[in-house]
Amino acid sequence: MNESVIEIQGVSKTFRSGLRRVPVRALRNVDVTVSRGTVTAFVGPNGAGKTTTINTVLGFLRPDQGSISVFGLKAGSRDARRRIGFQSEIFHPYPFHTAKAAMEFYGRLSGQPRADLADAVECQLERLGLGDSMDRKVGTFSKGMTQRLGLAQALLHRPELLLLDEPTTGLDPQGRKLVADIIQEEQMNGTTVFLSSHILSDIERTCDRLIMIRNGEVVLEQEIGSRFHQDGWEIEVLGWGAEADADLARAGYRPARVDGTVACFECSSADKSDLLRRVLDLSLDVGVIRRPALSLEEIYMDHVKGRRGA
Amino acid sequence: MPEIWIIAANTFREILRRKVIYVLVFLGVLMMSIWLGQMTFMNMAADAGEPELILQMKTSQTRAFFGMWGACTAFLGLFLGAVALATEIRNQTIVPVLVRPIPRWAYLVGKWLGTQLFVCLLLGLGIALGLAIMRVFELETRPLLWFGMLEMFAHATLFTGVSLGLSVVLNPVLAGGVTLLLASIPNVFETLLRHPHWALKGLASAVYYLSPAQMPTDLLADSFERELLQPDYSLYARVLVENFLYSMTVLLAGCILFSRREIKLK
Repeated sequence: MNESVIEIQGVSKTFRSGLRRVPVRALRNVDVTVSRGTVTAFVGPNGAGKTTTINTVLGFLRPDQGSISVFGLKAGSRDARRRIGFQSEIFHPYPFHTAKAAMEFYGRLSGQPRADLADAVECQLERLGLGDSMDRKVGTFSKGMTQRLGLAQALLHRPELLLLDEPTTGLDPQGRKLVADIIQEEQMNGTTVFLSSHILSDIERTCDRLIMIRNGEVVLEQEIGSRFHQDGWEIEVLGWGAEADADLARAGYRPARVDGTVACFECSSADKSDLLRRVLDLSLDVGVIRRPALSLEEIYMDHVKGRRGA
Repeated sequence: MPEIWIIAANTFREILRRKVIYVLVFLGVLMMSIWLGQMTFMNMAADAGEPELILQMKTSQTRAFFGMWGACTAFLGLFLGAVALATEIRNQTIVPVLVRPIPRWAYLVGKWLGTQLFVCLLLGLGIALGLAIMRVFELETRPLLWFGMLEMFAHATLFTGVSLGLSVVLNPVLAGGVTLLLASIPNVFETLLRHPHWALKGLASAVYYLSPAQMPTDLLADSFERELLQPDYSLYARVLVENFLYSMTVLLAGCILFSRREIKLK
């Protein structure tokens, strides 16, 4: 279960733009490991380096430093690509193909035998809700339909690794739910999913792990449980009064909020025991001790604004 | 390599859907109309009872037709070769193709084959039309004419292959420009080959050998001449083969570079 599917080690990438070849550091010493069978979310603001990372995994770009392997193979190698399904942020098919012809074209390029291809094409198009549009020209598709076709072609050859770059761009809520359901189905089939997205609610629903990138650096790598815990404690004290307020103030503890006889303290892990001892010495009751949890959105905003991590 | 043929067939279909092709076809039809307009002079010569003049006009009309068709096709090949890769990268249609397990060189060869197929079909159509005109005009065909037709194919192949190969490292305008320059450079440097100064002579020799071979004579024009002075068929064949190999070498270099280059998508 812990076998790495994607292993990015110390990858840096700098682009040079304009006549003066001004360097723009897109990735700085990025380390990412994606384990088999997981759904990993790759989040970060625009220009953080998400697409650059995905493009280096696909072999479109070469890192200036560091190494990338996919299934233990060199990133971009034919054998690695054989096992990858990729959907770009905006899928760009040939507009003159019908949906069916486009799928057959990509399927044949993936080396799928013609005999199996017709069934696989029909199955994936039906799965993505494009069954009725099989014979329609892709050029006449709406943005949402094109995106669904993009996901269908990524799934066509039953890849072991799905790389999805903003797969829900341009999709309505129904389409987004469909994508989330498909990701979960694929995970149940053992597919590893690496998902770049901005839609945090979708990530909370579908992903096991979160990797956050900012200014080309990984700033957070964490399992997605039900909550994201902060590094600190909240202690609720019952029977609060002026005497207790004065005693604890002398020791340097002031409540964050007071609501009648209930005071709420916020303290670090180091101060927790001392504060509790003093509270109990004053014969006060402790109502609740908890680690305050943040939503994924709060975590994201904190990291994006640089209040946390690197 | 079935993927080469899949990409070639797709490239062919893609070319047929390019609007610019229809603009070029329209221009071709326009030029043909002008050419047909010249027929009125032939009728005037017939009325005047000048069989020698009529034959001369028929010959020059047919020669002009072949020359025009050959040049148009070669330039179309140059254009299609130069833009083939850049268009795919700009439209990002290259992305879902190159994430498939196909070698990059196979992709480029497929693009070339599809373009070449289109250009050859167009050339074949022109040659069929030219031969039909010759039949109507009752002009005799000579072995040299077949060499002239082969030269038209070799020219189109040279322009398509070299411009596509160069487009891997140059933008389409530069790739097309350099291809044209390479094809015309030997004429410019030929006089310098006999220059007394060693440096100029060396430079001219280097450029001469780095550029495609030049046919010593205009095969199409000569094939309509009444008197032919011992045509050197083996030399013509060598030049044709050399030029074909030249375009394949540039395409091969393009394939090697394309396999190593990064694909930066916007």
